[in-house]
Parts: sequence; C-alpha cells; structure tokens
Amino acid sequence: MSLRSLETTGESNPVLELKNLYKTFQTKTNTVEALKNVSISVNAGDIFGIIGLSGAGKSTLVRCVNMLERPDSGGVYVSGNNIATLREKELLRIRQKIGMIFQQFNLLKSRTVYENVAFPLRYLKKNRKEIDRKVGDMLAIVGLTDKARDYPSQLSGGQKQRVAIARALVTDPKILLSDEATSALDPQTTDSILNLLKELNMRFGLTIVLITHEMDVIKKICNKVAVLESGEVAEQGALWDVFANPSSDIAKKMLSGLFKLDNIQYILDNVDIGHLFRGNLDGRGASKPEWGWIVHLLFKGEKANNAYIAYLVKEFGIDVSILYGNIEIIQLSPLGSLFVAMTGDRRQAGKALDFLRSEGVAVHILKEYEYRDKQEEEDLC
Amino acid sequence: MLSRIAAYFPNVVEMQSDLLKSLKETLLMVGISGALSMFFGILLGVVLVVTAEDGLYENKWFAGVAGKLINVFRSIPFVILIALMVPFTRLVVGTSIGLKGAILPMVVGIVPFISRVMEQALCEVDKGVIEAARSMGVSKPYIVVHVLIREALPGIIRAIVISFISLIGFSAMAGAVGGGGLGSFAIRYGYARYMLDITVVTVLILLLMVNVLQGLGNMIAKKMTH
Repeated sequence: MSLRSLETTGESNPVLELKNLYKTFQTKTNTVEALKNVSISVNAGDIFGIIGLSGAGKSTLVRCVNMLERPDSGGVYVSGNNIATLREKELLRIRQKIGMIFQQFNLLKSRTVYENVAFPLRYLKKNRKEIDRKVGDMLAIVGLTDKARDYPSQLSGGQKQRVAIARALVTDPKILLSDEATSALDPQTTDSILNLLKELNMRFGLTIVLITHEMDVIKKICNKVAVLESGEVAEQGALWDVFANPSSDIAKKMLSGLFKLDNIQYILDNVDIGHLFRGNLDGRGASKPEWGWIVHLLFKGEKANNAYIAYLVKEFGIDVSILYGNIEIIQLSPLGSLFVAMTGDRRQAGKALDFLRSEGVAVHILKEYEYRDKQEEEDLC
Repeated sequence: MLSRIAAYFPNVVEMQSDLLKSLKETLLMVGISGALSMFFGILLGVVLVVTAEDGLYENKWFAGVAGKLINVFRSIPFVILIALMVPFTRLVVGTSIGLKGAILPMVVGIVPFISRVMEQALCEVDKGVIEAARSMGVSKPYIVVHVLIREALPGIIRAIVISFISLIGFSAMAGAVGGGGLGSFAIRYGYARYMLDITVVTVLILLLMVNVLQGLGNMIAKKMTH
C-alpha cells in the first residue's frame, strides 16, 4: 500500500465524526469551556493529528471519542452511528472497538506483559487457545515476544508503550486513540513508537487519532491535522495545506519553530534589513534599492528540487538573495522552506510571486522594506 | 534449663491450662471478628473509593455521609464503645460478656478503621490504569475486582496486617471488660493478684503474635509487588 493511497479525501465515508461538541467543566471558582463547537471528521486510514498547547482541550476532545468524557452537547458518530446518546452499558461494546494509549502507559503493574495484553480478551471470555494466539501475534508485531513474562517495572518507557499498543489493539479495533503517547519518551524512542504507529496504519489500515503538543509528531506521521486553541478548532485540513498556508495565528506560531521562523523574525526585528537588499545591488554597482520584500517560500515534494531562484532572476529581472533555507521531511516527502530577500521592479516581483503560486509554491510576504532618508543617515554613522 | 526458666514464672506454670485456654480464646476472638470485619471493612473501603469524586460510581452525597459516619465511630475510644454497645450486643447475640459478647463490639470498633486503611491502599491505584480499563470497554464491576482490588493487593495485605494487629489490642481490651482471652487473663491474675510473671508472659505471647503476623504480611506483600 502506498502512502498516497492513504490520503483519502472527503469522498469516502468518515469512520469517525465529531459534530458541534460542547463541554464545560464547573470548578469551585469558575467555569472552563473545554470544548466550543468542535467538529472534526476522520476518514478510514487517516492518521489525524490534533495539536494544541496544554489546556487547549485536546485531552477532553479525545476522551469524547470513546465517551470517557461525555460532551454537554453535540454528536459523536462512529461509523455513522451517534454514540453520544448511548448509555454506559451500550458504550462498552463501542469502546472495545476503539483502542486507546496514554502518555503514562497505564499498564497493570501486578500483571506480566502477557497478562496485560491478554486482559481485554480475558474480560471477553475468549478461550485460552485464542488468547494465546492473539497475544503472541500482538507481541510479535510490537517486537516484545521475549518480554512476555516480564513485569512492566522491568521495561523501558518505549517498551511499556509497545505493550500498551499491543493491549489496545488485541481486540482488533479499527480506531486507535493516542493521548500524548510519546510525550514521556525521549526523541529516539518517540521516533520508534511513531514508526510503529505508521506501520500499523499501513499494514492494517488502522485509523489513528492522536493528540500532541509537539509539531514534530504531527509532521512525522499525520496526514491530517486540526489545531485546537482554547477549546476551538482554529483550523484543520490536510497536513500540507495547514503547513504551507496556516491561516490561524496559533498554527503559524506552532509552525514557526519548525521553519525556524523565530530566527528570521529576530533578524527582521533587530537588524536593519536595508542591508539585506543593499547587498544585492552593491555587487553590481547599481543604485541603492528603494524597495524590497522578505518572502517565505514553501516547496512541496519534488518541487523542492526545482531551480526556481535562478529562473526568477533570469525571467523577471529581479534580484533574489537567499537568507536562510531548510528541508523538512513531512510524511516521507520533502518540504523545502526558503527565506529570500527580493528587490528590483515591484511589478515584476509581484509577477514572480504569482508565477510561484501558480507552481504550487506557498508564498508568504513577511516584511516590506522601503528606503527612508533617516535610515540612510543612520547607516552612514 | 527449662526448670530454671520455670522458676522465674511460678504462676505461669501453675496456670498453664488457663493460659492455653485464654490464648485459644484470643485466637478465636481475633479470628472470627477479623474475618467478619475484613469482609465489611474491605467492602466499605471499596465503596468509599468508588463513590468518591471522580470514582467509578461517583456519589458525593453518599461518600460524604459514609465518611462522616466512619469518623464518628473512629472517634469513640474502644473501651467506651464496648460499654455503649452493651444493649445492642445483648439484643443481637443474647449476651454482652464472654467470647460471644466481645466479637460484635470488636467488629464495630475495627470496621471503620479497616475501611480507612483500605481506602488508602485503594487510592494508591493509578487513576490512569482504571481509565485505560474503561477505554477497553470493560464493565465497572469487573474493573473494581480485576483492576482496582487486584492492583492494590500488596497495599491491601499490609492494611489487613495492621488491622489484625489492632484487633489483637482490641481483644485484650475486650477481655478486660469480661470478654475472656489473654487480656482478661493478664488482668485477672497479673494485675489483680500481682502475679507479674503472668503479665510478662502474656506480653511476650502478644509480641510474638504481632511479629509473626507482621513478618508474614510483609513477605506476602513483597512477593506481590512487581
């Protein structure tokens, strides 16, 4: 199965749909609106990331999916059926079809790895042979066959999470909820767990809804993302769209770390950017620039390799100098990020950006520069 | 050797059979009231935990009333409780003295204590583990038995040991007001008739019982902790 085939679009029926969820918590001193009109739609095979800062309502949201937390209003549709109206007893069967893993693993300390994974099956009164086979299969998938007789206290964090994943999937659920599952792990272990989740997604078509506060996690395995802020969905969509054209402030802020936007912002705020443009023309001995743009360009996939800059210079007769660039690997395909200073004829520069947009490059003008006398005087000092 | 030791405890040797009878009574008292109060105590402890805020069967009103009631009973000194309960004990078991009369006050005296130590042991179970079990679609009664109690087992064993040790103390007090057992033996002879050796031997026996119990409990709890 190729990666691309998993990028299902709106045409297929969503396996999970949250519609207009509201949830308010009452504390002694005040009321907290944890969810405000949240609607999210997840298709089969999606790895749907929900990102937000702490307190944004992520945990509440993911708990509404399996009704560990009941929303005040709104619908939770699993395979088209609204489960928000079900009673606790009826929910048990639904929950058995939705696995869940946690930041703190939540393994049973008094039981071995084998018994932890067997736990849901024992509850369902499966016979011993079947339990043995299923547990053996799951432990093989997560790579812990030799740890079956160990107790959780003897395992590392990554191994504990693997046991938790085996336990969550032993009843063959179609959906896996991940509540900050890698947040307690070191970067290397995080990668190995994310790779395991991706593998489960590809091999078994497992739909994953994961919540995290780390853009890195989203970047590595999600094909869709929703950004949550103070209980509201600030924006959601396919990963590339949100990464390339974030519309909300919170998404921009969370992505700025990924593209090292803070470095550029520092330069723009603290350095006289006139220098950035002057450098372009001084070499040619031309006149001082009167105008310029600092532009952030994002190239997706194979576009990241195209020689756009040379083309712009040649075709539009403008000056383009590269300030900073890097390449991120997003869902196994490259996403190039480039900061450039453009100057020259303003209309030509505008055309150049239009051309880039038509090529599917995401273009963000970060700052416009205009020559001022005062600045010139300062520079001379 | 044995005869030289016996020389220090003349009265004990003389009242050997009385001592053994008292020991048997104490064991019976502690055993029967222990079994009964463990059952009710653990039950009440579980109820306290599951009805508490964010518990599986959250019921703030019930948890509040039960908590207050337990505090009331715990604040009554045991000797006074025995006296207070005399009419009730007579009504239930027909007598307020002897082995039979001692057991009921002992149960009523210890159950609030056990329920509190049980509550503490059960609170040690990570809320996340219970949430994980809920997320698997496991029913609440199953979670109580196979997750809550099972995970708290080492703590529960320790709590049981502490409770039994308290019960041994209670049994001595019950003895003082006519309940029989080692307590009344020590009071009747050691205290009332100035037979100090009887008091000493009684203390030694109680010491041995408590230590064996504690050692056994620690061993089991350790084996269960992973």
